[in-house]
Amino acid sequence: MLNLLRGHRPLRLGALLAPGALWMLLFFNLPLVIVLFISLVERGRAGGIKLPPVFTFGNYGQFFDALYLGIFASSVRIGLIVTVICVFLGYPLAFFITRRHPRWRDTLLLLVMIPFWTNFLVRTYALKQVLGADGIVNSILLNFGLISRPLDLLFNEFAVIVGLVYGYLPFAILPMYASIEKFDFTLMEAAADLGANLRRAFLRVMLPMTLPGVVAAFVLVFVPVVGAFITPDIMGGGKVEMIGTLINRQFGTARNWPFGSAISLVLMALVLVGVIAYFRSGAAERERRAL
Amino acid sequence: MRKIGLWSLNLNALGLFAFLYLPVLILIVFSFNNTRSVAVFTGFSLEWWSKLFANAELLDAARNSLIVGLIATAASTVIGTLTALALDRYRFRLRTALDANLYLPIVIPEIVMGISLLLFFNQALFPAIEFLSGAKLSTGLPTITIAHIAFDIPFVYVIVRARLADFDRSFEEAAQDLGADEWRTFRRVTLPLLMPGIIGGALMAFTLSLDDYLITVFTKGVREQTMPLYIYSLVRRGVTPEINALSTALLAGSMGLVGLSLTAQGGGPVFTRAIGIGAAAGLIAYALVSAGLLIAGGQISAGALAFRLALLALAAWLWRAVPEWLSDLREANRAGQLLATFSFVMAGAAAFISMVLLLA
Repeated sequence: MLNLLRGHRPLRLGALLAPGALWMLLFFNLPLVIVLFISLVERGRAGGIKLPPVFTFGNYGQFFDALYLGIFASSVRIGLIVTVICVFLGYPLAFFITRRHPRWRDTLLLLVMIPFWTNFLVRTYALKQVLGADGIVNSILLNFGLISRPLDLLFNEFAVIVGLVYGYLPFAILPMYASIEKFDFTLMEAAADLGANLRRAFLRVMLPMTLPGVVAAFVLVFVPVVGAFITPDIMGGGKVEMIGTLINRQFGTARNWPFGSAISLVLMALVLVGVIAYFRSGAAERERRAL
Repeated sequence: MRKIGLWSLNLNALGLFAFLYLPVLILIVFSFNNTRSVAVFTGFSLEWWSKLFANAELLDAARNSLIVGLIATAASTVIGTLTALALDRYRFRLRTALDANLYLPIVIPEIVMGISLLLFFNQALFPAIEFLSGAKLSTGLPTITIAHIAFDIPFVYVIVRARLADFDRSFEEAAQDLGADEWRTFRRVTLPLLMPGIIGGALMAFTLSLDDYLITVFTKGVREQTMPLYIYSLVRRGVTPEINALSTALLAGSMGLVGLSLTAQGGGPVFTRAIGIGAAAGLIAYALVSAGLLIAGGQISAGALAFRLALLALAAWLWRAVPEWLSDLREANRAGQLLATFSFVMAGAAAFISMVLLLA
């Protein structure tokens, strides 16, 4: 095939480029344009959109309703809580792994990476069954007489937060590991020689130098968590509303496609602002080199 | 003070690994329980596992997942690799924009991509086709496959592109100095060097496709469902050891894919070829076993026989590929031999099981 196109640089470039570019244009970009269009028209009486289309900004206006702003705020709040927990627990673990013998280090890293490859649904289910009313946590606590009736560990915000930490903790550990691994630990000795105690040496030397990994961890956890659907749906059992479940409802029982489209675009904008800020900070480039 | 610090560091590590893995271990253990309880282990039984293999709805979902996964993986691997080559080797206008556009599906929330495809198919593409040709279409396995290809391409692209970034072009120049034409250089030098990245990308695409729920649920039709859709409906209803058995089976499959992917990305051609040779061996084994069963059962149709003969034709390729592979394998170190054997067995088993599921 390449033979035929020899010497025809534009033709050959076209042949390599066309399948991917066209597929993404047709099945990724064009659908987003349609979402934009539908977010700007009125909804039909029985769902769908009103025909002929009537333009309106009302769907975005509806978003500023206290109810929806509240859901948005609570998604961001849950996202921040989950991210902070992941970073605070993940940083010491990443540090722990870098200080192991190389043979152990690879095994531990593999243990961090395996969840990436395992079915997210299966992992969420595993957690759900552990926390359930007749799950193993409650039955152990009951057996030891620590509680008299099962704790409500499921179908509330607590369950959603635990589920999200469970799902996204590995996303936080890997970039921080990459940063800490490159950190030159003799700098800590130098700081100690110059009279800094351990705490000061950590805060003034190690943390600033490993900050790119922390920033990357923050973005890599916050971005998917804020738009999550599966975890709030399964662990929250319909009782915890986040942006993801709100969008899903607009396309299910609420049958309000234009409003669902508008929220989707707002969510996408929020996520893109985070990602662009991350790339601007240069942390991405440093991390790519580290990995 | 220092001691307390070290102690809490170890405790944190132990606690987090326990948090990540205990639920999964418990899930596996209770798939072998002999009662419905998922908290008290009352005795070993394979009851839930045998129920799994008798569940027609489940087998149907597994077959659909496999069909969608295989087609999406093949298409996205080819398309993603071509795109990576184009953006790595050529400078043109809009190159950066195109690169950014390929990263976008990875970062935007999955639910947004799901609803955009739902609206696209139902509000734009199908009405347009109906208007133009009068044909009434609806969502189903084909739309799921199209969507999966769209979200798999970026992942293949990123992985192959990373491999291309480390690519030493002097190998290609050497081949051309030695008289190879461009096509030959590509086939004998560029492609083998890229292979670990391509196989890594393909396995990633396959895993993503098999695991995807959110985009699939928005592009599915009324009747057919895939494995994650089926599991989701079960999980929402409640907790049963049967889901544990199903989940354990899926975990085993994922572990195999991780192993294959790591060997492919870490190692040279011995491992990558082990995957291909293993898969071919699995297909041939299936052809032999099923042809034997068909003949023993006395129900041989011409089509079924021809299909099995076509699979057996792979033996001709093996005949040429295996001796070379074995001699390379002998030169590899012990760890390499183990990994290559592992890849061979995993790929063979996967190919065999897939054929049984697809054609049962």
